[in-house]
Amino acid sequence: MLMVFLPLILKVLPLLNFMPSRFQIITVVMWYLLILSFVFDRFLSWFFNVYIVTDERIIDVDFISLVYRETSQVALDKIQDVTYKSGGLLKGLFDYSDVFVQTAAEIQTIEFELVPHPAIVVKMINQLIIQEEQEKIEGRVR
Amino acid sequence: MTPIDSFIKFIVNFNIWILAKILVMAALGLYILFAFLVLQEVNLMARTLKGVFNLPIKITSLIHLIFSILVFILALVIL
Repeated sequence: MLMVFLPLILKVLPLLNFMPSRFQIITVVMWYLLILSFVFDRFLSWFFNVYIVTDERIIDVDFISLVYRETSQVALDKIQDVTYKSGGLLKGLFDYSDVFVQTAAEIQTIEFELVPHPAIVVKMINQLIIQEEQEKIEGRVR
Repeated sequence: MTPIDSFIKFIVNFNIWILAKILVMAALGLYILFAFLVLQEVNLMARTLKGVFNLPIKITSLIHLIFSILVFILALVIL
């Protein structure tokens, strides 16, 4: 919020007075363009940082920045262990924490950061793994 | 006048704000490319993940691109 009102300081402290007025206008406009970009970048990094759990695999999409995205997926039969760590006042109060999915694949751990109801997530993944194992034994192919 | 004399004359009479304008225009041009890339990424992610917020995010990224083009045009006109 402070960044939005920062150009108002220029009225008190004439930091840009060495520039012609047209350059001062463009500097302020560019400042707001950068703020818009920064806010949008932070929002999208959070919004598109998703974890998809299907009955066949787990997909982790890390939207690190607006131009850099990392997607990793692991088949359910490659999962070795699913754990979650909870602790802290806020995490306990609002029931959210990190879930760790240990795999035998190249990507050794998939981390679900700060997901709500981690116990339910772990339980659901474990159920899906058991279901996948049963399908394997029974020889069902989807 | 020798070439060295004309070069010195060019350096002495050189307007720094013309260079500044070129740099600002180049930066804003790159920014438009970046905004276009953002729009493409958002469209791709919106196609992958179906959700209620997809339309507002698509509109925001389009506004971001239009705003960056308008700033480029503004800089081209007033600088």
